[in-house]
Amino acid sequence: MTDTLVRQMVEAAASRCEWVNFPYPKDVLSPLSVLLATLSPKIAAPLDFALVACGFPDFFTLKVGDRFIVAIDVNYLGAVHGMLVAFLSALPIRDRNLRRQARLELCVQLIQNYIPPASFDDPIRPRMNQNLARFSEQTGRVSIVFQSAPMELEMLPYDEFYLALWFFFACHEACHCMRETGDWRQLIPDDLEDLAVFDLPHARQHVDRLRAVIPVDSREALFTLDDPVSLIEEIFCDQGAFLLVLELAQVMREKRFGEFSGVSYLVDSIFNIFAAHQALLELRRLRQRIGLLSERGLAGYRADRLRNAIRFSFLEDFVACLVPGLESVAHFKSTPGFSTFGYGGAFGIREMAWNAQAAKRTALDDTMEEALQIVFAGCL
Amino acid sequence: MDASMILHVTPQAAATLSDELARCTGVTPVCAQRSSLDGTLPEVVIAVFAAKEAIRLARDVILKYVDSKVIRSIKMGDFEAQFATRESAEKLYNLFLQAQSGSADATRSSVDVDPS
Repeated sequence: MTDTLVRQMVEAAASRCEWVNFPYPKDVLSPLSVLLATLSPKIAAPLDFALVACGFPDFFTLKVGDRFIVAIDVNYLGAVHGMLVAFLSALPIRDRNLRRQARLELCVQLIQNYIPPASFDDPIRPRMNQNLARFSEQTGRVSIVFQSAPMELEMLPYDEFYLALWFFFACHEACHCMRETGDWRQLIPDDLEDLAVFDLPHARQHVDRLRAVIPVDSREALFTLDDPVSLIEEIFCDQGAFLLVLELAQVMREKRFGEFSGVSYLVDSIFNIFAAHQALLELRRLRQRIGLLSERGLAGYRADRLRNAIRFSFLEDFVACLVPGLESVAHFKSTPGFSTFGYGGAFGIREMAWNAQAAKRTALDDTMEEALQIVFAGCL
Repeated sequence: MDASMILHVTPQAAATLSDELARCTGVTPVCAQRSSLDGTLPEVVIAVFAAKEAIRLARDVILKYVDSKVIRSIKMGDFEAQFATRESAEKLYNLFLQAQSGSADATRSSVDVDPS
């Protein structure tokens, strides 16, 4: 399979592809080439990266012949990053209503970008436009820009946040490749096997551990969801990605590639990125159900929230067990490294992640649902 | 105008569809398995590159698989249906063939019709 053909396939597989850079050069010293050099020996199949820009932000892996290509969409990373910045920007607003309003505007803007009225025909489209116009009149604000340019992302300092943003998703995808080639067992060291979730029996063991933190209605949901196997696959890859990013932080440190302050900031960053990413995924999935925008569609949306809650709880539990002294993400202290945004990371996590102890949805998810109700009022 | 056809299809029926396309067009499609970060909708991308005549010959097969909901989205040249239905697939074919013969404006467009 020639590079030209693979490149064409990546372009074909990308959602509204704007450009593709394939194959990613291995001989240039950059964080991504370090990532590729670290991941490649772990997979018994050729692994390559493609940098892509998708019109509709996406992040995917393509298997062409025996080659795995992880397509890193700079627009997807830009959306996650921008959304995080926008959401965290609302945190210092003291007035609760104003803070809620700022978040709501962000969510409405996200919906507009991901499920635009133009995707619909009559009678939904005019109704959506009407709802959006009314919302805009009430808030009196211009739209929020929440997508960061690829250039901005590359200019970020090489620190834990950079690793979380650029590496976590790629490592997650690499873990999927390892599952397929059978190389995944070496990913989890023997002494961590009890912590990892790689099949249904392991997941069951962990549900017991998670009873205290998983929302009551989610406790057994793992086993009653439509497709628990794929969910377990995702959970495993989240956990594997975390281990890989930890390893990469060490590699980057050894290569004197950036400034690293410590594992708590890395965890902090990963959880923030993960929360923003999950909110985007929900919109992606809702968009895929665009033809089912009905009570059924929204029910599916809530099921996705449940899947995300479970994934988050499992990752949180894994990290808490793995990193000594961190009993729960909710207990993290504010870390100085979070100065990228100038806000306390722990606050960000508490605001954005699932509030496991209180078994409640996070502000972002609840606001997103409220925003959906506003945008689609009268459409269902 | 580009004369390639890209199909996003469910993994289960991808091999059968690919074989059938190869039989009826004489062109072997290129297949790639695609999985996305959300992990919910893995799919296979089937591409027939630069083969206008093959695309024309594949019409009945495409419509058959659209009806059986194997094909999720179709892109032909600059036209695409993100949510493939018989109606949008037929519209897509008409636009594509018209554009190829020079009787339609070959600008990029989506032909999605009410997917519900």
